[in-house]
Amino acid sequence: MMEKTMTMPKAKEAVTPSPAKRKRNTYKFVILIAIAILSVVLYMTVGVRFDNPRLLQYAMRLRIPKVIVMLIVAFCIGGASMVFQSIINNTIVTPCLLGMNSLYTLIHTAVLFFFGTGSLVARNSNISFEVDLLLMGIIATFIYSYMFKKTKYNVLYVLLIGTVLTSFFTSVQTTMVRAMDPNEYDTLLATLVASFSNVNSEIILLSVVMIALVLFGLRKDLKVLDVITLGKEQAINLGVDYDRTIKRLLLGVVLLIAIATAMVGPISFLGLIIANLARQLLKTYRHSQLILGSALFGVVLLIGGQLIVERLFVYSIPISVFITVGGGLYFLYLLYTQKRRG
Amino acid sequence: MKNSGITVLLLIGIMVLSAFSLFVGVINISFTELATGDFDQLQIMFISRLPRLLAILCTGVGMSVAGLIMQQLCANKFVSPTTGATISSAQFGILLAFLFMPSSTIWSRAIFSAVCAILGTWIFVWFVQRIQFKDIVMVPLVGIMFGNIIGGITNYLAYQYSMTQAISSWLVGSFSTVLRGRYEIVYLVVPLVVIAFIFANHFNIVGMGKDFSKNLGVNYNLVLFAGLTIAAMITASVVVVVGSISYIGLIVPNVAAMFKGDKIRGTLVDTVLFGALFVLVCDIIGRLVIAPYELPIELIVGILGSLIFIALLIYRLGHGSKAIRIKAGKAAAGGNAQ
Repeated sequence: MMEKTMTMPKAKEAVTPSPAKRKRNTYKFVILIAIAILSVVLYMTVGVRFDNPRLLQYAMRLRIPKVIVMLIVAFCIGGASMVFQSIINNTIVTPCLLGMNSLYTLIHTAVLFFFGTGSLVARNSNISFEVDLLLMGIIATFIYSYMFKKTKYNVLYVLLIGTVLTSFFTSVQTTMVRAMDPNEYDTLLATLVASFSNVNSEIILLSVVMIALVLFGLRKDLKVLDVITLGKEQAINLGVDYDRTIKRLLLGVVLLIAIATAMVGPISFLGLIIANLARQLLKTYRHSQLILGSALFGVVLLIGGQLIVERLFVYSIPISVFITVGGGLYFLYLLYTQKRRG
Repeated sequence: MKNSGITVLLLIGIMVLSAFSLFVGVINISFTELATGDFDQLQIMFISRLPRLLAILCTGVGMSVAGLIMQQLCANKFVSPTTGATISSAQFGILLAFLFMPSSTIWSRAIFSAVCAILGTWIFVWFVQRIQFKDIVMVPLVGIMFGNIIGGITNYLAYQYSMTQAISSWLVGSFSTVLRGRYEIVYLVVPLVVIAFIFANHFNIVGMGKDFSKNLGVNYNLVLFAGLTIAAMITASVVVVVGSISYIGLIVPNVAAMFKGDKIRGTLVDTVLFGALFVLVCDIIGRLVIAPYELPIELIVGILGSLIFIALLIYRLGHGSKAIRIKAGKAAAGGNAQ
């Protein structure tokens, strides 16, 4: 239905963008990058006492890791959502709607549950991060590729199953938590609610390395993304190993989402918002531009949102509530307008 | 005769499990001591065990009938109190009752929650009818989003006024707090279900579309919104006592329809019985798994329910639309889906 009307007819433009259009996109990028840098700078400087070097140092020590984490998360979610939307050729879906966040939480809980908090896996946060990612990669690719195959790539069914899976994962996770030893639960809670504020630098380094590895492994697949958007038949005709590419890209998406969730917990609607904003603004089908655009939007929204939450509301609203309500309304709005146009 | 066989089987199952449910718990109750009139044991029976059983039965009956009504009215098999924003609106209402009337009784909370549930469901159905989705799966998806938004607002308000803990017992359904004097509101389900039974044929007709019901002399909008109101009131009276229990309204009517077809009069009795049985089984599982503690029923229903739901979906995809009759008559909410 709408995915066809949204992407198919306009796809031709992507092949030969007019020079004027390309120029316009460059302007847009410059502005977007400027806003992103501005929000980073604002976040770093608002309320900082520059006259006192010790306070300055203290503030920077708190804020620099936070900003780095948010940059990583914005890139992960923006890139993953954009790639995912293109793979399944639908602009109202994000991987987070499919329950990948809650799957990650479940896996993390299950690892602690079965290994116990005394084990090496639980005590060393780096090993625990790697084990989580590994399990997530295997299980999620298995579940979701099975799901896509079973439903014959019918996106709406995948979405419905995904939302139901979300509550399944959450129920299993809560059941485990309730059956847990209270001491183990304390340990779990401390690692689960890893918000922007308490991420250690080794994890940051580790996730940057992971992201680099994912990008390196997928460099060939990412190049053919533009072709994949044309549809399965066209892509195969143009010499793309469709099924294999899709599977590899899906694995990459899963890993990126896992990294983002591991760092900040579930932010379900962010991907939907930034990917669609990027599509609306840039009006192109080149994924190098789209991914960059949605990552930049992610930076602006996350850092700007965090700034507003911290300064304006003095932490009275968790940012996740902001994103859920705003994202949900935006989702309904998208449905409404796409319906009108279609 | 095969059809009434199922009904009898369900009835026997409910009776056996009800008897079993009365004797499951931390304190052992033996039948012989009850018969001799042991005061302590009788007290446990009448203050805790019996109310719990009755609440379970009412919840099962109520939620599945609410689901059945909503599915018939919207002509969409995936609509239910969970996927139609009814439950989250009811929770929102409870929060409002806490905010505006801190000394609220269970009755005033029920009123707040019912009003919100009705409004939420109306808005959802209005939105869905206005957009006229081509694909039936879109409707529950929008409903879940709708529920998420309302849930987000509830969370925000609860967080703002430090009500998170107070509200949390209504977010996860559990029968462990059901005691004499605190659960009677759930009996409201009974008259509402009777009303639903009387007007069953009207709901069926409205499900066939606006023009069709006009031809048969049924006031479309009146019956539609009256039916939604009944479903929302049932949901609210269950949510106020037990907390939210998802999926029953979604799964039970679908399974019943697989055996009995879509005519509401024909399926209503089986839906009611199957709903009660399903909740009973889930509750017993929740009480046995980590005895002497118990798991809230919402978790058991969440696990079993979502698995059954996904199995239903995949089964339908594999066997075509005849496997589960997804579309009852001309879809009102789904438009001209092919």
